[in-house]
Amino acid sequence: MEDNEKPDSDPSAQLMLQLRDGDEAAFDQIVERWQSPLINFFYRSLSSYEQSEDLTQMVFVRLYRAAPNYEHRARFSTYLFQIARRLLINEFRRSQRKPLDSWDPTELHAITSGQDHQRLTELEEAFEQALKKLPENHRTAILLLKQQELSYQEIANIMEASESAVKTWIFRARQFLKQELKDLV
Amino acid sequence: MKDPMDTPEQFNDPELLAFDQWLNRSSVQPPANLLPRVRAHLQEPPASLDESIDQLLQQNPDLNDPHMVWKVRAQLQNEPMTGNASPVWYRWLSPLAAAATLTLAFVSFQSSGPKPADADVSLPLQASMESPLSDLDSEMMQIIALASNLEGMSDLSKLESVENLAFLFD
Repeated sequence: MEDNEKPDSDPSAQLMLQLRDGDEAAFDQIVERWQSPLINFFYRSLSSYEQSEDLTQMVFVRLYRAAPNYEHRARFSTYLFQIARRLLINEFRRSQRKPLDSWDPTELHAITSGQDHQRLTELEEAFEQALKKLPENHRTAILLLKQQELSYQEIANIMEASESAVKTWIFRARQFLKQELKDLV
Repeated sequence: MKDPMDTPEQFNDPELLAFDQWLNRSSVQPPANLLPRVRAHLQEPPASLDESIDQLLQQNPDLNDPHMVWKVRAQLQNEPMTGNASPVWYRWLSPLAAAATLTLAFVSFQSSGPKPADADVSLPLQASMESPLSDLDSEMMQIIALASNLEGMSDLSKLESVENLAFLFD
């Protein structure tokens, strides 16, 4: 599917245009439609329900405030997850508080908040730990592909990278996961 | 030749299939009152510096790097608006002044002509071009300048046009 499809075939983009034109009810529908995908995207990255909920709210706040200037240039999901990823990276940075000069994007591993952990089976625990060990760009790419079921092209647009870079990240992430989860299943 | 990274078949290992199934299951549910809470947040002013920086940088594709907000924030924390910022200001004010001068010259050129009455048009136009300059938010200017410096735009050639500066006057 093309990323720059018409708003007619992208109902959420249509809702965003309605919101831009003053239809407040359109925002409610956007929240209803996207709250679950967003909170699960954040939860798999952060393992913290509280942080995931906060970030989900922040995405919608930014979305609402950006509505007056919204133009349909890409699929709505691309636009939404660009905001989500930006906030996620901000959250990683805020939590890690690393000096700028020692910062490496590949070091953005997930933050664990012990109190938020649900009871996990041994296998689920292994999945979660393996996912946490991935660099941020590999993990985000995998989540967008497998959890959000987005295309390589759309992931590339969200992550502001080339499609081939995204394929490489996913390939490496899968290789890593395969190795990490060996003998567990 | 087929791209090996386009063949998910090679990853049909049981552990990866199990991983995908686990990932696809919706593991958490959003709270029932998420929408009212978002609405409550919307009543608050956008006080977050991150949000301000983010929104600003999004307007310039050259600076639209998801990591940029942190670089800018760190620089702002390290270099408060003191004398240290003056070289940055100087570097930014030069192209700003040049752009404003060019614009005014262009407007004056356009408005000059055989109709004497048209000359009056340039005055409000000049005023409208000058007033945004004086109203520029100094903190936002510094943010843009820092972001620009962090992007390595040292020669400022990208800035020496009215079009590239237009976003400053929004």
